[in-house]
Amino acid sequence: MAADLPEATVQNILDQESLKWVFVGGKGGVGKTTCSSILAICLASVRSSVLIISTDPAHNLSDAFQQRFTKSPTLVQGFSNLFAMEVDPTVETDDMAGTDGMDGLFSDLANAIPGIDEAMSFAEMLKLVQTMDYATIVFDTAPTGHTLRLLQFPATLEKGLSKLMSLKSRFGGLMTQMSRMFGMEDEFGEDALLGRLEGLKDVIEQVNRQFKDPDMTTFVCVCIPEFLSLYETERLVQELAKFEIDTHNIIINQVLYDDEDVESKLLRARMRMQQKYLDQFYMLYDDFNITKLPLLPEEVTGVEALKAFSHKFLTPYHPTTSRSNVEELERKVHTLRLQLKTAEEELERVKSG
Amino acid sequence: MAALLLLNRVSRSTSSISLHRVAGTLGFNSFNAQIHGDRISGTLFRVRSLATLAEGASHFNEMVSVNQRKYYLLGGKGGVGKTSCAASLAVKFASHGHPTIVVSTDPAHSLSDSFSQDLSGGVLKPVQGVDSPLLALEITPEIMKDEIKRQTGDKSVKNMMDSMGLGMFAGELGDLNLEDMLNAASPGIDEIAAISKVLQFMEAPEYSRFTRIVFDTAPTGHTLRLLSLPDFYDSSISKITKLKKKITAAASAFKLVFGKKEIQQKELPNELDQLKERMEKVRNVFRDVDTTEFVIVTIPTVMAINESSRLHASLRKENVPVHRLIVNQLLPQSESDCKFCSIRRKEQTRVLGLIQNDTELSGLKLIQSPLLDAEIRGVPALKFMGDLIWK
Repeated sequence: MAADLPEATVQNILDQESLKWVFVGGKGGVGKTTCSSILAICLASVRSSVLIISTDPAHNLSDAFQQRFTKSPTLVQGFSNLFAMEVDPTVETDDMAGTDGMDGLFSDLANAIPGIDEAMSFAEMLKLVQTMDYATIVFDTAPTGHTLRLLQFPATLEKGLSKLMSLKSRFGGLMTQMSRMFGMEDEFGEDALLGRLEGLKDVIEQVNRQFKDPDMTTFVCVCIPEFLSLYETERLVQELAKFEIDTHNIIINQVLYDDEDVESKLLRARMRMQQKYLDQFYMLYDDFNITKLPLLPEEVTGVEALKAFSHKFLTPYHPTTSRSNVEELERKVHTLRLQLKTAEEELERVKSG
Repeated sequence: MAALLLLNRVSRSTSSISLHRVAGTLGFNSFNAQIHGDRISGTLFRVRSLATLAEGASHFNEMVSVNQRKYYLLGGKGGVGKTSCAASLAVKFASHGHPTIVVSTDPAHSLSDSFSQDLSGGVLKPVQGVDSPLLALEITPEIMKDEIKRQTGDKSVKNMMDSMGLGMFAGELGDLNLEDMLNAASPGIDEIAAISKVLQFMEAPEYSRFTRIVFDTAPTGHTLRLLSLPDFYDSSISKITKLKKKITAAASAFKLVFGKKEIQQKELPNELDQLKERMEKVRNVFRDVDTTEFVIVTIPTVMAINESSRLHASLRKENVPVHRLIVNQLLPQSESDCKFCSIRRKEQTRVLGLIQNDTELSGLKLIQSPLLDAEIRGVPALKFMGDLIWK
């Protein structure tokens, strides 16, 4: 019976050696950065080189590793094959409006489109990453709405670039002749932006094909057992299907387990609430690999904490069920006595009420 | 420290504000709303406060006392409870006599979930179960894109060429259409459309009586983009204008060769100017100290505090007024403490200490919000939460 269920870990991602692009996304605040960081650490133990990229404008990667990262790949301390970078697609905008006249006609045409700068920067980043030859690239993405837009860029750019090339081929020659006729021969030199566009086109086509190849690209959805996160995950999975991007892993984070330490009424109430949505996750995604991660009392930041937590990615978490320490038992008795006292007081209040 | 202790002992001023509102057209009854500075008694949860100075003030009195229209934007890291805070604030405004509109500009809409009512569709809908007028709106990107397209006019290259007498070449351009690329590659266009749409609402006579507008914004990254969008679109519109001039010049040169002397140069579309005007208005609303306040919502983790600090730095740079910081999901004090809660609360207390030492956040009024044992959905739950947070 156990063999019929997909394994409850992310081991399948580590085993899939052909994977080049791994996206980690989901609703805001569910622990995407922690999960993508740990996934990158796990991959670094089985791959020759791993790069993790944050594309969320509100970068948290530096916080997670407690190390400053920039727009260039930086070696993560304590590793020899794990690199990290934080990119903001809108930051770099080359100003192409240097020339007047007809030279910049097509450049201006491209630059006038809102958002094209972001797409171009993303494409440039992809090209750069391609040439660096990492075995696997992990993307720590922005909250869902932003990520879905980002994933469209390769296909969008490919379409747009083709049209611009077509436009130039039809009218470029005519413009050249006219300029020569009027003695403006030198004005039509190489158009810098279109040169960049042509250079990017091949890379974009390749990346676009790779993104749609389940052997090379997969998307890991991170969520928490709450209604909004479940709803958001479903939206994300459906959009990814439209984009033909593979997704078959879900990480459910911040799960409260029936653990020895979890005894308060508040947490038990939240546990019951979570169970409702956990059941729905398993019903909706019965063919996904679902990894459950426990909610920890302390925050997971820094390389050592990330490494310690990474074991839970590869082995299903089992809460501790037995504790024989005298100190622990005494503390538990004390807690139970307090709870009993509270219950008795409440009973008296109800009786008299 | 001594000064802080001294301030803590200053007697809390009790202010009593009577609001009389008569809405004749819709037949609302006249009513008085008495607001007292007394803390709400019988609170189920008590949270030990590190910000004793803030505790002495009645924040909500400040927020509710002015009849002039005010905008509140609630933003912060994803998943910290912005929507619940925004919805509960809107409910409390309405309960205190302010007709209120709450708008969600987050692509992952959750207002419907908060109010347990379907608010999708891109139109203002009345929230049921609230005594005073409360309208809610979830902006739908697709609808807004259509509106933006209409407002910015047809930017098809084919039509641009047509209008300049180069129709003979139009066919060869085939289906090249800037709108396709505009639709697909316009990050943040839904945010700017949302704000612009709401400002349009505000100008309509039937909405003039709404004195409180609450925005539930997208996670930090989107918010930062939202702040820079007016500049971004100004730049983009300028480029389009310049492009038009260049094409006009090219057309002129072309026609001279063939001896045609008459050149019709159409004026720039009015729609572009209107769009620019709207961007300007949005920018001004964001930075108006008298009418606008941005409230940062966060949770007590180091990562979230760091992100809130960066957000405040960006807002300060953009001259957006910020006065309050809400720390959500705090564990309440409990007699029967389990080990898990004990460790977690200790960690949360440490993080609250970090806020006091952070140069960006220490100047803000701190509001503490507890972690509750049930989901906050529906108006009664939002009222309960609102009474806990907005005092």
